[in-house]
Amino acid sequence: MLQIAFPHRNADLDAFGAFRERVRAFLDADPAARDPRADCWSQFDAAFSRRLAAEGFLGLTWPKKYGGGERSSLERFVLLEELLAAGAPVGAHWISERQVGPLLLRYGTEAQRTEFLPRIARAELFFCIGLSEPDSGSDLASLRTTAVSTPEGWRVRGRKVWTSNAHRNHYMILLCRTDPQSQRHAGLSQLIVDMASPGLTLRPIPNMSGEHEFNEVTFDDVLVPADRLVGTAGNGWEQVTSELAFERSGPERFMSSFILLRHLAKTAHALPAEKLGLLTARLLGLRALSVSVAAMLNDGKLPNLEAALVKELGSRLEQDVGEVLLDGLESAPNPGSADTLNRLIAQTLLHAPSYSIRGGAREILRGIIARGLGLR
Amino acid sequence: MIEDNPVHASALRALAPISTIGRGNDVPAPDAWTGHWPTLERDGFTLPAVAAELGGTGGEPPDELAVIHACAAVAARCPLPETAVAGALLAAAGHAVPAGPLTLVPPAGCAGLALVDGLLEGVATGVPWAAQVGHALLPLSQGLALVTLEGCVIEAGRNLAGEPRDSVRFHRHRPVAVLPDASADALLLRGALMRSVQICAAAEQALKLAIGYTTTRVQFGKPLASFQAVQHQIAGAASKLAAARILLDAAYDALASGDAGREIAAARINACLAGGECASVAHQVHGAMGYAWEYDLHRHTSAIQAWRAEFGPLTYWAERLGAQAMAAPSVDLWQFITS
Repeated sequence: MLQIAFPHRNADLDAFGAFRERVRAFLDADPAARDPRADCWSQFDAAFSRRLAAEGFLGLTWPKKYGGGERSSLERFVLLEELLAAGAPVGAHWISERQVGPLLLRYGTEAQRTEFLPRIARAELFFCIGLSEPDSGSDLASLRTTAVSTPEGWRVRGRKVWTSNAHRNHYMILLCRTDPQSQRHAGLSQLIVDMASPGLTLRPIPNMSGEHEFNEVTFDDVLVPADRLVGTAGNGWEQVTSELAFERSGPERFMSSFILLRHLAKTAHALPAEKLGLLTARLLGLRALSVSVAAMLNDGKLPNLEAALVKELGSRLEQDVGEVLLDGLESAPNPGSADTLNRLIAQTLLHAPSYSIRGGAREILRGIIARGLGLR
Repeated sequence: MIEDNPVHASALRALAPISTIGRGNDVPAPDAWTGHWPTLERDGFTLPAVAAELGGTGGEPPDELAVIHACAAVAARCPLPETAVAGALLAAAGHAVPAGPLTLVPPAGCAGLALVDGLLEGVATGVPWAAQVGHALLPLSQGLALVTLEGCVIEAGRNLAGEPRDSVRFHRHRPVAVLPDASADALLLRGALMRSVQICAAAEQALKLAIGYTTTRVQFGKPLASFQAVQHQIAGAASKLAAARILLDAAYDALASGDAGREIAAARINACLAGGECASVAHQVHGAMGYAWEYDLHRHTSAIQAWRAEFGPLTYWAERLGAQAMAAPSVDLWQFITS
């Protein structure tokens, strides 16, 4: 079918019913459940992440010797969707668990895995990802931050922007140019950078909701030990793109606004059944697509195209939920409102523009899909 | 995946002779397919998911999905989908399936029918292929009625795609059987799913034509497909279609294991959304060419629009799914989605 295939695999989740109940019981008892958040995976709460870690919920799929649970990625899917459905503040560990763990498992040295993975699984270490630069956004391959190999290690000069939680994280996975003569996708490498390194400075970039999540990170001759290179020098682009399917296909790509719909039933918001039905139907479709991608990943495939499609469609749903509910709201949306639904709608309206930008802008994703369809 | 089922490929081959009827400038007679029916019946395509002892091929629900999808994919205009689904409903009620093509009527078309002292009285409207089939399945308050259409007065009509949608007058007409355990709602659900499968198949063909056309048609010195404005429209429509398609599989999987109400409503809603966008985008990127009778696009897009209105439009299904979600146990939407 048009070269984009999604086998229906929802039944693969049936095996994890008991685990789902365990996660629900944990969430019901946790104090975070009393303050559900919209876009909850941007909400940084290290204490909550540590409570999850104590349950063994971080690094669920990783080898036990690195602090993981050796469970299937479909079981992890169940965990993630339950966390998101509860609006739990999972932002502290989200990127580390989703991307850094799999990256180190795939490309890291044994020493790197042993040093970092168990501490990520215990929610002791949080990572950010250094990709965008002042002159390189969607055109990531034009990035110019450079690391030069010297006898004492890599010397990094350059600047990253839109780096989420850099001010709260311990390390960064930095994508930079290690071959100064290289162009575009060649000559890029990934380094693990200690955020406490001399020469590394941060400047907050408050977002439109007024929250401090983004940062500008400046590297002024920052020394990074040679053994902090991830994988192979010059192989950075391939390494980054190998994680894209994990990054783009998960339930967080269509559930950022779900807590609003879930909360509706507990309020007097008069959403017509027809509108709830439309949004629910779209959610059911996206969930089936996302489970399908999780199953492909579990089978060892690399469904980057399919993941791009999930994110493209999912961000539209996440944004539409805020729009539809706003149109039925009797009071002005206010992030400080005592009314939970009002507050969730306000949070969503202030976060929603980012949904179709973060992790690959809609235009980029549609370009990927168009290529998959043979249009380019 | 629908195409992974070998029944799909064999159905495409079997339906090829019917698919050529009405192409180009030809306006087909409504019974142009009838000469090919005995072969379809003999080769087991007409009742794919009906048990052999009840007259069918003995396959599984996904075989029915494959046959209906193939039929719409090649725009083969004949009552094969209706026969497959009416047969499956009869079989589910334990009733033997009569030979020959069958039809089933949306509940909305049966509002003017009454069963009085065991005899059917009134007019059924929007009856697919009434003049060409032997038997019809009618949803009534007493259950599903299996009737012959012999001796009825039939007034011919057509839908947007040119398929017969007739009015049938019944007078003191005794049904072959009334199946009290088979509900009108079961017929509505299966009919809506049938049309959803057809919409998805037609939408995919519309997009394939759009991709083929825009990658070859040159304007401003380059193929239309090299323009991002064109690429992104098609990519957006294809994304919606992917969601609708996977829900077809979900619905047929659910049918195999019992209650498929939630899955069918979701499939129907997504099929209507995707079908509309695929048709619209396919026409837009084709320019005037897609508007020409001689070009194939309208065979798919007119059918999409016709099928969106049969067996309950999007609004009906969205209201129904929304009401179910709000009434879910402990009124928890998440429970409803994951149960």
